[in-house]
Amino acid sequence: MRSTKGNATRFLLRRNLFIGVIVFLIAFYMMPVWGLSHIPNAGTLAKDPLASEMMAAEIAKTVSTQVMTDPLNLEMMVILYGWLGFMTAMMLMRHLFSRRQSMLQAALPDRRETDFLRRYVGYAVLCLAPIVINFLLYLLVVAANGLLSYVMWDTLLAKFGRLLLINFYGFAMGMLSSVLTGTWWAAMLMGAVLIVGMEGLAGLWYSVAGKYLHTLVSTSFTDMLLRLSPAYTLYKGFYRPAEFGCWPGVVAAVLALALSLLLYRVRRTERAERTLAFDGLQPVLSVVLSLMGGTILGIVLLLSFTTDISLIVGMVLGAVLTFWVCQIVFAQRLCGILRHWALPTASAAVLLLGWALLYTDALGYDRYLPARGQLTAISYTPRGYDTGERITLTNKEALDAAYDWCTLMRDEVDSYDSGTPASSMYSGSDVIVTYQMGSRRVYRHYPNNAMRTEAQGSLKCVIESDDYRQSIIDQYQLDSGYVSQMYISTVNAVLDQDAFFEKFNIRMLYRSYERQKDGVVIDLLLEALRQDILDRTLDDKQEMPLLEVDLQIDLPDSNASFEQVSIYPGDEHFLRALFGEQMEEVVRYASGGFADSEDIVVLKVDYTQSYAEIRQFATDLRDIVASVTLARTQEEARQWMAKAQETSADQHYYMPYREDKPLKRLYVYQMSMVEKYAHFYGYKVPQDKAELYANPEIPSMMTLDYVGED
Amino acid sequence: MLIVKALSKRFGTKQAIADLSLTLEEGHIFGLLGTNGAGKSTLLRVMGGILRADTGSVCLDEASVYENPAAKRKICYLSDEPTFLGSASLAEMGRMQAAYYPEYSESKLKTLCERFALPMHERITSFSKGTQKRAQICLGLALNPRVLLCDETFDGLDPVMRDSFKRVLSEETVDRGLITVLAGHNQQEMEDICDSVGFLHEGRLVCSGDLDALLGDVHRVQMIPTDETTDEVLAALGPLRMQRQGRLYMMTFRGDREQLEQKLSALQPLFMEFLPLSLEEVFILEMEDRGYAQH
Repeated sequence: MRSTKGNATRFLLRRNLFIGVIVFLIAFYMMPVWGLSHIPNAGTLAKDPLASEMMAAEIAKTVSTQVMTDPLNLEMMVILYGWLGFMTAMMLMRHLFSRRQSMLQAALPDRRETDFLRRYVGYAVLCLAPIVINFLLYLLVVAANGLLSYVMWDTLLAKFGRLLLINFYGFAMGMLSSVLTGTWWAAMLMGAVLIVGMEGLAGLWYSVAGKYLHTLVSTSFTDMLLRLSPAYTLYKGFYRPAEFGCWPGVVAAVLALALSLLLYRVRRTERAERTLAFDGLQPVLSVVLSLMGGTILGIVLLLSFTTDISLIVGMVLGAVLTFWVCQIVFAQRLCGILRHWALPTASAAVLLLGWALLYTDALGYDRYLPARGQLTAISYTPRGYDTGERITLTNKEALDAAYDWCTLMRDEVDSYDSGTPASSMYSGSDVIVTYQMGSRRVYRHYPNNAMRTEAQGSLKCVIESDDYRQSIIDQYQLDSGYVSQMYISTVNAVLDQDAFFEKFNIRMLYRSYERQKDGVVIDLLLEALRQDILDRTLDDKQEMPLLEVDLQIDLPDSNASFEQVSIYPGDEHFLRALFGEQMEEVVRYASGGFADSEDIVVLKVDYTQSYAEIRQFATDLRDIVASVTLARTQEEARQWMAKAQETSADQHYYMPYREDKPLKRLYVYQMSMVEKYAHFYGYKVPQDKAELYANPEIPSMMTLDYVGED
Repeated sequence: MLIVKALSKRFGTKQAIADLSLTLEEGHIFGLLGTNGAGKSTLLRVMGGILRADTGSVCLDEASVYENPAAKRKICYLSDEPTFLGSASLAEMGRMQAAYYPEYSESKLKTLCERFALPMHERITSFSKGTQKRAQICLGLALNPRVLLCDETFDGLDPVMRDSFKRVLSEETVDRGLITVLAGHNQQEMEDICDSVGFLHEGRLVCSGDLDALLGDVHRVQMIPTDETTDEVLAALGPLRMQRQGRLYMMTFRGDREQLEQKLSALQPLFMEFLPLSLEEVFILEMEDRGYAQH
């Protein structure tokens, strides 16, 4: 007699062969077809005798990673393969969603665990195997084009392994969802709750917390998710495998499968076509969903009406209504839902308690400041207009200064009223601070607003510390030799790029190590920049930058990264290396001398409101003009220009706070341009230059904030 | 031998089966009669190892049936709603049965299909309701089970097919010692084919036993008593039913016929006759006794 079990498995596989065909076709499109359409091009390049090393790297990348990311975009690949696993599980367990099929299955002489394992084999054969076969077919395409030697096996296999793991995780969640429920749609809903439910609830509450906790850091929430969430670690880990371990996903998948098996064994046959297969699930799921529903409706009403009361009403209504809707869905009938009061009330109460905790900051989140003695380092990253610095301070002097600065920032936050939306506090000078106490890290996001003036002493100490300078040098890789390309440009409107470089006869703005003679120049400029960074003071940084240097950094075993470095008038070494003897002239020209021309007219406009008021009331600047003053001489124009800043520079984290002072702005007109466009725009050039500002149609060449004293 | 012992099964708040015990022997056909919702289908599903009992047990040859493949291979449950794999033909259903049941006989299925004019390779779902029933029975019989549980299986079959299947069933029962349970409402059919019957009401087996004994235990008497015999005298005899039309009394009694005859003869009636009772009438009596649909 033939093996009965073998026959039963074969029969199951034959009945579900269509799953295998669908998975095969999808994977076929993703791997071999993609390979057929892309690999031959790479093959042609590889045969080119002039193919450079960089091209070889590009070919290796094409054959080793792009097949896992290109056919659809990255996110879709992750979702698609997870979804394939999930749907395979649901299809293999579809008898659980039909009362009749469930009875038919239960009548068969088969143990539940045997049946479960048989379906697991079904998954391996009908879902995993087609994916693996297509992967092998893809390798065949690569080999046929003679590119097998370009394959980075560790990268390719790691990515493919991740893909299989994502598929397996989807399958495990699909099995658990199917066993827990009795209908298709309930299983899909359950899948969503199992895969992203807790993360979703946490995310929703994070957004509520973000309204009330002024120092909450979005990256800390993401870090927590990355550490704990199986779905998120698998999702992120697919394209950044070195950073994200796959253990949460593996553990969750194995647990889900084990739990599915246990529950499948005790699941009652008669539960098919019922929303939930286990009675105990109903209250648990109702409460979880009502918490989510309450939070979502609260946020929706908050976004619509922007008041705390709308959030509260939304939470209570949402919790109760969602609970009742759950009862209707679970019982598949309408009557009797109003009998349920205790649990929806408890859900609403939990939400209100959560809101109250956040509103009053009862846990002291914003007030938290570690004891000075516990600190081993303070790191900070500006989040507003300065996003390019990642500073770590460890030596005592710098740490003390940073601690004083943080204390001021904490106190500033502490002075805000409860319920003041945290987002309204950020004006572009905000910083994220990381307090490091041994291996423990605590993150806070400070608005860093009005106290900046008071913190100037501490900031000066921080910015002029060795730690700060070394952090900047490390960040820009000025010591390491990993900078491969640099591009120098003038910053914003102050200087016209072409005119400026032409004036000072600077030809080569782009330098790359690929060109042999550029290497010497890059080394020279980087060394000069390093010297300047070691000499920079806070006063230097508070001046308007002249240039911006874009650096491409090619670290080993990593993708290229880019850094932007500002060059200030005080950066003597770099400017001299670039401009040689013209350096003084360049600095004079760029920091005001530019206005020393008859063609340039500078107007200073005083407004009656501060920048903070203007932003708060969205005032039209022309409605609040106090006075318009014309620079009487070219020298006066030059002096004004020397004390000007870009309009956003005031919000750099190390600048003194000026937003509470009446706004003063310089409007710089180039008369030749004004006259040139007069006919085109149909305006008349006034005789009195002070009246240029009165006509908004007359284009100014640039607008700068005036930060000097009158 | 199939033994059901102290079986109980509840669906939510509804008690479907309550403390039910039953013993079925080889070579017997047991008829299970019951009102709507009495628990017949549930009982059969628990006996077939499809549903798990809350308490009690179902054992075939002393082995529990639930989650026991060895026992379940000998049992075939024919549902009141014939169920097949989606878009399957009889041949494919046969392949499925071959995968799970060692005793399955493909040749027997072919023979039965030929006998009952069933196409082997057409989708079963395209068959008429009656043809689907036929297909289900053929598939069940091809398993060569030791226990055949039929839930309203003959409903929907035309009289010719019904008769043919009854004959096949009788042959199987006699030849292979098949234990057959027929659940349904058609008392006439039960009377024709069953060796013993049981009445199920609200999940309890209110009455069961050999068909002849069951029919022989209840008697209907038609009599015209003398003028001296009052209604009270007749009622004192303990009839289950007593109806009067003019001078003619129609009474139903339970008990030994000879003793009843002696008691009634002692009243010297002007006319007395014992009338035969059908199973349906006995069933109605039993159900009315238990307060079901009394008017």
